[in-house]
Amino acid sequence: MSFLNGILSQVQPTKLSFTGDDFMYILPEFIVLVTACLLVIVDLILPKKSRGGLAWLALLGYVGALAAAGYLYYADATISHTTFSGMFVRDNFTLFNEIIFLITGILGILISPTYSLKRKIPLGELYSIQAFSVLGMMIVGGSGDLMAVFVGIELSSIAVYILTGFARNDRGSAEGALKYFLLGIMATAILVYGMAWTFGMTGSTNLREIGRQIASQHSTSSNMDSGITFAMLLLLVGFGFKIAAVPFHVWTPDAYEGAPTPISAFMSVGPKAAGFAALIRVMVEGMPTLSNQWTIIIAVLAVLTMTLGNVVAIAQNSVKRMLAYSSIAHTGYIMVGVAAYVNSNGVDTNVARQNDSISSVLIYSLIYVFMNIGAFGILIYLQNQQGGAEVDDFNGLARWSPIAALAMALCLFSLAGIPPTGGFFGKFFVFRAAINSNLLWLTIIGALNSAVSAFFYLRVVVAMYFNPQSEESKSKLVPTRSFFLTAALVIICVAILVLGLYPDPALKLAQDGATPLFQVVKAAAGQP
Amino acid sequence: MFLLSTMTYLPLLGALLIMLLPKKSDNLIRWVALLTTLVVFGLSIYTILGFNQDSKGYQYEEYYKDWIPSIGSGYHMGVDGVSVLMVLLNGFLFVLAIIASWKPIQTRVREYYVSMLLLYVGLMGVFCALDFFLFYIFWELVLIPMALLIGIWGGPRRVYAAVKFFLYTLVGSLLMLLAIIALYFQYYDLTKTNTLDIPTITKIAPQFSETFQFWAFLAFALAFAIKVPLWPFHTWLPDAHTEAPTAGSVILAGNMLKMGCYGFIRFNLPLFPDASKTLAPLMIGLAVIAIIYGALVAIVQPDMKRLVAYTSVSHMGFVILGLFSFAYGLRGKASGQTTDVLLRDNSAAFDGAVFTMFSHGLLTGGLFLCVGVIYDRLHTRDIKTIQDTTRVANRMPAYAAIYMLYTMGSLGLPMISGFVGEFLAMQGAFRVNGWIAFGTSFAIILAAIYMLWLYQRVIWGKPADYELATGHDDHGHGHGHATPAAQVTPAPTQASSKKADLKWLYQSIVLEPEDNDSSAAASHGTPAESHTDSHDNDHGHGHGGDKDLKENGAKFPDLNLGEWLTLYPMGIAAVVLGVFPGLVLNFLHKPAEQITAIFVNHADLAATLLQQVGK
Repeated sequence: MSFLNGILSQVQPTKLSFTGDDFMYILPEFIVLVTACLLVIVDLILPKKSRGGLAWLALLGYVGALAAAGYLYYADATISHTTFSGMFVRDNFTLFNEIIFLITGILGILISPTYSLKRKIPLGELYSIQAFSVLGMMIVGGSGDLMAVFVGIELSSIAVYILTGFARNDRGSAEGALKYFLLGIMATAILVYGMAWTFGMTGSTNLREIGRQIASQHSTSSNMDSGITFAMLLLLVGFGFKIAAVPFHVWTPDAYEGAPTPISAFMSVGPKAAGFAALIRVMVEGMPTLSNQWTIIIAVLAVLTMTLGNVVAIAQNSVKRMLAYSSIAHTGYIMVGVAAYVNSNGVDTNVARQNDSISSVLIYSLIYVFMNIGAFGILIYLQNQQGGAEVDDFNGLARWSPIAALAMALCLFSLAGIPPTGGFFGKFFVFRAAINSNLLWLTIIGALNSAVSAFFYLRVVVAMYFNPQSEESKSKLVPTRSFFLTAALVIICVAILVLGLYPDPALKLAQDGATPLFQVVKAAAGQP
Repeated sequence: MFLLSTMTYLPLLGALLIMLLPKKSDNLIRWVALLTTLVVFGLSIYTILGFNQDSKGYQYEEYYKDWIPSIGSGYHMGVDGVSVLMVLLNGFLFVLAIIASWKPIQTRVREYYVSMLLLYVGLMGVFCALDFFLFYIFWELVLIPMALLIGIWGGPRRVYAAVKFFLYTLVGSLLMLLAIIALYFQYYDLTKTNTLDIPTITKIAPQFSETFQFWAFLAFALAFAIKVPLWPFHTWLPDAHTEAPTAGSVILAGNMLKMGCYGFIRFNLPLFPDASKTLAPLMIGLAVIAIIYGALVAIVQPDMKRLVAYTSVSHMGFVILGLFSFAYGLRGKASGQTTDVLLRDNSAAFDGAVFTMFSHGLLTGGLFLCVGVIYDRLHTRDIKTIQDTTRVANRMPAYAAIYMLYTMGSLGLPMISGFVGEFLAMQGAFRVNGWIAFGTSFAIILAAIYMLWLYQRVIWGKPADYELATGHDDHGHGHGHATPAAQVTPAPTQASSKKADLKWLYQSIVLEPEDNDSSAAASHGTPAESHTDSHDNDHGHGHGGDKDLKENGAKFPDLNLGEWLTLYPMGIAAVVLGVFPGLVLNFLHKPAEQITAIFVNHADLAATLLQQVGK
């Protein structure tokens, strides 16, 4: 343990300080925080009848945060600013993640009201806890320090544990929440352990500092390797739980199925994207030197994740559970993008290639937000109308609600990756990054998986368009209109088509978002 | 000029308009769809008339580089000699398909025409797109509406057929997508620029390494072979065809199968010249198997539509045979032949392949329409049942006549378009190896067997009137050569002069001399009511078969207006092309020359390299 002491002696305690500028750079986070607090307070003041209006307050907060993020971007598009002594970083990667999380938040608000009111779920708390979760994710996206990663992940996770169990009278909800909570806590423990090891090995919790330490000691010390590899493995397991990668996915189906559907929609995209943001921040900024090791692990996990997700999804009769497995499969596709970040020695000459890898993860996560919330949105619509969430409940949807069926078909085709939808472009871009990194075998498995996935997505389309509606379902039909849900679905369908046919602006933003990471990597390796 | 884009997106506009129309206005919807397709057909005629057959490269080009610059994809449309023919075929067949669905489609009319028009968008786009990304979007866009057409308006096993069709073609496409991305990086490695532009990539195609060509060829070929479909990837086709509604079958056979052939012409040959030469024997082998196998299996099919579907497998085999005989022939460069000589020697195979694509669209489309005509009247496609029900020739002379034309065209009778393509393709195959041509020539005999036997059973069925066959027990009258003298009744009084003309036509084309008297008498015996009752023939029924058969089996009105308007123009087009094949062949000189030039350039390059190594 002597080497540990040696490293510990190198640690220079830095004095934590911050200035007014720092607050400007966390303006979007600050707005979400204020919104979350206001929601609790206003919920107490407002009479019960008018609490539906809280949705507007939450929306206002998210849109305000989005506007603030946009303002910071337009003020300085190449911004890369470290605040709060390296805890929080404002750069374009942060921005892109904020966009993903805020859109998740907005859509999550829009799809909730009717469903929640029907099931007597208190809206004020729901919105408020959701806002805290979004805040946690935003902190993860902008984290420059393992501490910030941890705080962000926990803030968002704990909020989602609560949300999962929000339907208190529903046994499935409680069961899912408990499973999610217990496994999540274990994952957190492993994650913390990994962070502790990392700190022990490098003497810092700051990601850039960790990167520098590993790069400088990588060549000189051989002890370094095994210890830091262990830390890396622990971190990967921890993040693997958060993104629901196989074999750390076991909580997913139950949690998604048990949670109220709007929450399933929210937690299938938000925390997952946050997990990827953390993974990329820590692995790319902190451990670029070890990328040969972690990319191969991620590639193997990606194969397992895609295959298990898709194969098991085929056997599901509950659409909600099917979407849970489909979301596992999509984790796998995104991991293909992460795995494409292969380089030999920390700094590769082909930065464009690594940029493709990270930007493919970003763009896919963004597209995935729309298509997955869209699919859950129609499920919510269906549950509002007649209660069920089985494939058979979709029978004849195209007859009695052609527009909903069309929207569902669009989302499902997008999830299956069929043009001209955004899902196709996302997959195209991910596969492109992987082929460029000589991972042809991985993309072939990915492509075959996408064909398998088409099978179960198609089952729902078949039910909607080809099967007649059963008498039982006709009798259960209670027409319900929801302005918010309709608005969400319109936004989603337009976004899916725009991202499929004219993805260039979003793609440029994603590529910008990937750039700051490489400056960090370069700096860590001592290059200009 | 945005001619190509206009043609591609006009159907989309039509589809949107139809979606906005009120639900109950079925007829209005039909008219909107018809007008849209007519306008596009007009534009496609305008395109082909303005097309310069003697100029190399693409025409009517539209190119906006900044569609998705980050991945090097631009919006590029354009047509060459091959694709302009396919655009015309699209335009023509879709008008007929819309007319052919007029009466048979009575349920969910709006959705039907929206799907049809979306399918049109995809099919037009596939033949015009000159950018890989754009091409792939259109390529996959075709899948969804077609699966809906089969799955909603199809026969009893429609869902199975639709899903099988969708998944089968999707698997092939995904591997093609990977090959496209690989191609993109291969281009990047060679030039350090990103592009997905098809002509640009084609220009440097000869520089790709042989291993790369080999694997990329296979990935592309799988996607296209499934679409063509080439044996052994054909199994989705009989199901899809059998279950699809009539118009869907027409489009499937006429246009969608051509997507695969077109892919071979546009991508496999020019992009991978080495691999095309190396793998030509494999593809020729598969094509020969497809030709013979399709024909043999067709003979024994009990279902009319399934039979026609298998003839498609056989005929599309000729396309692949022609294309790869062409590729195989182009390897002659080693003995010092020039481009001109190579072209002169081998262009027949290419011409034959593309000509077969065009003529198959007309003839097989026509055959499917003919099956549809019978199905609308009897609600069955089972050959035996039709045969035991009535003698169709007596009741539907106009139908019998035009059906004869398609039969003869399909089996390769000279003067009808089917002959030209098969002849040229076999001529090309002969240059590869005489035995191949010898083997495939048996397909023509087999075609005569399955087509004429089908015709005999369907048209010359049981001579009795009105008696409905309830089962297959009526073997005594089986093949329908018994003299139907007992059934002769007074001739209809109101037979118009037009009808008389038709009868003359039908007698002179169809009847054999020794059978003349009795059959002519029988055809005069067609009772008047069968003509007048045509309106209450109940279309758009379920697929129950027997009950409908009992109610409507006896009512055999001859072709109605819609059927006239679809069957006869198509037949006329087939005959015109059979007599003047130059109308199509003239478009093919330049494309063939260009492909040859690529092969020769490539061989030159290899020769130079060899010389350098030698020094």
